[in-house]
Amino acid sequence: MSVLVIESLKKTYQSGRDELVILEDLDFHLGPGEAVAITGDSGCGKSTLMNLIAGLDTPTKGTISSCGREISALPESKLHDYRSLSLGLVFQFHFLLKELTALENVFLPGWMAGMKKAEAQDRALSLLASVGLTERSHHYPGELSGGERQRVALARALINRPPLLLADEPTGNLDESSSSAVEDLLLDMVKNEGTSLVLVTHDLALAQRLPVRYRLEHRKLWRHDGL
Amino acid sequence: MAGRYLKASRRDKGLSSAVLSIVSLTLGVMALLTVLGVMNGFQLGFMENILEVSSTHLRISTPEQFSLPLEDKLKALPGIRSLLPLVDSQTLVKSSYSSPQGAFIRGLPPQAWEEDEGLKKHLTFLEGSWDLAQSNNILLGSEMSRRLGVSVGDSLSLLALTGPKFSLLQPRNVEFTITGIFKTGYLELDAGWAFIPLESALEFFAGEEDLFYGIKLENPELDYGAMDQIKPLLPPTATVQSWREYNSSFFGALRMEKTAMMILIGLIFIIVGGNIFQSLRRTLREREEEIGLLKAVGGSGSRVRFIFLFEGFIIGLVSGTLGVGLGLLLSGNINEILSGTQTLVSFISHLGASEESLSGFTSQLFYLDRIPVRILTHEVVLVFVFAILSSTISSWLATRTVEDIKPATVLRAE
Repeated sequence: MSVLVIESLKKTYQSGRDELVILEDLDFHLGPGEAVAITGDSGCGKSTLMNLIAGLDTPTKGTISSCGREISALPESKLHDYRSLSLGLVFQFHFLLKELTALENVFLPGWMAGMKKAEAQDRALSLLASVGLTERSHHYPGELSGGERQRVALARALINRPPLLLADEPTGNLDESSSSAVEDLLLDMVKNEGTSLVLVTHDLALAQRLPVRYRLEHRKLWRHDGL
Repeated sequence: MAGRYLKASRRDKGLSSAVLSIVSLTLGVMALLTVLGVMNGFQLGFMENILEVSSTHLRISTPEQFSLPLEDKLKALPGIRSLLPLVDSQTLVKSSYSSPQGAFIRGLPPQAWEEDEGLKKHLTFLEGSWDLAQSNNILLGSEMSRRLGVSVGDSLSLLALTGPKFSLLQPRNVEFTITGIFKTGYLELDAGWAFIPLESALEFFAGEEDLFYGIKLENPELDYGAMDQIKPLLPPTATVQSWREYNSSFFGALRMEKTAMMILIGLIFIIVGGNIFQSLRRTLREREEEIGLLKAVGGSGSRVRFIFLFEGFIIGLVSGTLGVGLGLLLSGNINEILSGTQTLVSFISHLGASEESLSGFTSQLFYLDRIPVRILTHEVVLVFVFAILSSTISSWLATRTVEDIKPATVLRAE
């Protein structure tokens, strides 16, 4: 079963009297364990596409399905289940809760998804170990470096073993050495966990590390493996 | 998480709105408990005095005296503490040193002191003792004796009307000797009441038809149950009434006074609730990004809302606990605190060579020496629950906006 299927997707925004078309007739397919990169110019609609896939926004036309479930038709009350159990999100900014430790930040989505606290803690500790932050698990975000925070965010995204991970410019705020470390971890963990990945990035070097690449241009996704 | 947010808000802003909410709600609970304690002290004190000394818990009106076996049968019923034949009358009383004044005379058997524990508990003899052994003995309230200028051993004249029928009634002075001066702590009784032997009362002030039986119960709240037990044993001409019926207007007024005071002081909960509502709304605006994130990573609106709702609950719980603790402490020591305050202010006034000083709760100004305080457990629980409810409901209202926060705003902000 496909992890993500997008068919005839259209997204428009109203700007005064004008209708702004961001995405149109966009089709996309992602199989289990596949990892793709999406590149494109600023303002081309990459983040809009991510919001739509994450169920944070609704399409104007077309359908988005994940694991056989049409998420664009789900009510808000069901969408949180989808975001909780079927999706991992990594943003450009880490968005860790500053009042919680690294460990608590990681296990919180697991706990909210109904995992037992002890089980969520064990899973979080194992993920933190995978991103090399065992020693820092009881540190607050304010006590971590930018790269470390992003590694915690990556661990958080994988706590519920989601079939699909969306990463939107995950290294956009990091320096070169931290970027490289987070990229390695992201690709390793996706491989180890068997998660499908949609990675949106400006960074062509990062995009080239993925086997399949798309470019968002003229409101559609174009396969662009020869980048 | 709610606990962490509360801690963080204190750390970030020093004296935060959460701390202010806790302080104001604590003070509200403390004030309400103290006022209720003092009002209970006064009101229940009055009610007990009235029920134990004057009105009794049940009254059986009967045109003829009960036989001894019937009296014994009634006394043996479960929940009955005492049963006494009584006669009430009003007359004028005069001493050698004063003009006549009105008095409420109760005639009761001389052995009433031994049979009725309530009398023993609520009558304190300042002079003499319970002595109605002689037919011309009289026991006077302390305030009445002060007004008449008499003490134990002095004589009093009571105006009696005697005659075979109403048109032939003749006024007559009957001399009584004071054998005891009592105090109940309730001015109306101390200034107007006197006790004489039942036989004298029946001879000079009332007829057989005025006789009634006063019953005291182990638990006055179980009056209707006791009435159901008593009624089948009584002759058809006898009627029984509860204290709730013949004291309804006065006790109703006391209850109304207390309810009004509770509502007025309870308004503080609404004010504090408004404060908590505003502070949580501000917190929610400040934490919009985090709320969006929690929803983006799978938290349902209601689950995220619960975090902030729980914050309000914690504020209510902490305030309720602190307020109840402080309220009990203040109520239990209110006389000492007032006395200490009075001493302190007097000392400061003295230092400043001021003529004025604070007049506290003294027997020179009030009829009572001390402020009576009575804490009722169910009221403490009620106030505690109200504190938690006011805070939680305010939080519930404030957190309605959580449902409307769109997680997409987080990604856009990025």
